[in-house]
Amino acid sequence: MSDRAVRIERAGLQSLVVDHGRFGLRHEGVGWCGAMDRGSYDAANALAGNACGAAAIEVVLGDVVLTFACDARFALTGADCNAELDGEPVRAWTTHRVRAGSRLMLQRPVAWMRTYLAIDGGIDVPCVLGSRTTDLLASMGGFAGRALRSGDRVELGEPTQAPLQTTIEPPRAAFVLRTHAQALGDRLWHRTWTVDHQSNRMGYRLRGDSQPHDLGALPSHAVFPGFIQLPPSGEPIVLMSDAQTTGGYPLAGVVVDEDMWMLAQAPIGATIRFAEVRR
Amino acid sequence: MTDMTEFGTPNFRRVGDAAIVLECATLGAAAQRRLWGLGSAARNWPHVREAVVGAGNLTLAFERDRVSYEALRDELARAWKDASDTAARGRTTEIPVHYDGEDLQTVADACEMRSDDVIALHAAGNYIVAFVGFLPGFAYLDGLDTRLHLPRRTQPRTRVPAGSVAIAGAQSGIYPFDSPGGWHIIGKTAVHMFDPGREPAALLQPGDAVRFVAV
Repeated sequence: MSDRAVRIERAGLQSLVVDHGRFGLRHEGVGWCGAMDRGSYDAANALAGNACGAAAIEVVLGDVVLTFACDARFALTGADCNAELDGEPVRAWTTHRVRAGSRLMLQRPVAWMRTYLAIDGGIDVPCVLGSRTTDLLASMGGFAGRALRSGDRVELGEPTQAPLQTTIEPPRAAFVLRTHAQALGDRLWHRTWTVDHQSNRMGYRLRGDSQPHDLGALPSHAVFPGFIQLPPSGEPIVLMSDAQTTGGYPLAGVVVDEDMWMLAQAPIGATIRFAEVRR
Repeated sequence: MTDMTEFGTPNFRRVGDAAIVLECATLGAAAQRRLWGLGSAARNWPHVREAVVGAGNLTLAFERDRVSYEALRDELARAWKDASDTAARGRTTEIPVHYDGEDLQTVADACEMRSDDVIALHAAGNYIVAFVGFLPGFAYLDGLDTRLHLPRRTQPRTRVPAGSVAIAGAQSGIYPFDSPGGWHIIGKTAVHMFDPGREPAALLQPGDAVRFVAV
């Protein structure tokens, strides 16, 4: 066993090994999964000196403690968790070097939902159907197909070259999502929506000024992350990274791919808006 | 070669800025077979990320910076004319079922028959995989006896156990994993519907024949 590893002391709400996702298998019912906020995930890898697409850890709402079993280089991006390394503050969106035995602690973030921890060499887990990302529905990929638990020893790949850039300016999340209209698009615009507590990696449920409809179900058709479904309650569901591959609810719109990261970072109770854009 | 007029001209629709849907003018087994062939072909076209067959429709997710909606629409229209409506592999899979599902009696009551009749009708059917979706390896099976057609449960379950054999509408299916679900559970099977170590990973593929065997 290599000594390049980290040991999870406290796993937090849902910490997952992620990469860009598992593609080209939706016709077998396999979802993309992968990092919910791809921009932050890519930035973390760049700052750690990793190749694009190396596996990293996605943390929801902080509250994670881990110990490095080896010297390493790492970066934290996404939600800022006021992290501490052996009690000293470490800045997010910045490259850090660490000695074996050091302890990294993430607190609850003040804003945003998801934090990305990339470590040089990437997380070394087996590639399943072309990806290292966790698929919670099928219990495959990632770390044994599940979220990390305290006591897990997570192996790292071989050390990489120094990063080209050691700090990146974080983006601003406006929580206004550019959206292409579908048949029921008029039900989305000019109102605010609240992220419901029944939101997860498959879909975000939104509450707001909604009207029930009796359009029933459509013949089953393919759905993708970003699609906004309108179930009979009229309360929209925005499909996220782990979305199922087919569905039957009518569609109200499709969120522009580049804006999906903002929804991934919107906490429960956050207010969001849709802005109609042309193709 | 089947005459194109038999199927009519398919309808095309854009969804968002990176997906195109082909909808068959007429639904049916022959049109569905064409979709399987077209889906398999389109999966290998450049800049097509996914090709997913649904009930009488096919959706392509594409790289919008590299190929246009219009180009794919024209390509699909051409390929639809030439697509074969013969099944790719005519495999038959037998699924052993313990018919002891939670909803067996409810289904029997709703269909006004005894639960033994539900079992007999379900096990007598010749099923065909129309498409795979929802969950990894979840096959939507056409061929359910019309006497067993029921709407979905009004209150979906938050957790349906893996291996559950279920019916809803005109279809039957087997839950490959624990998941939420609104179908009526009439039995269970120990068969693994999805195995990432297998090629292909999904046990059932479009066009496969399926028979349920009561055990």
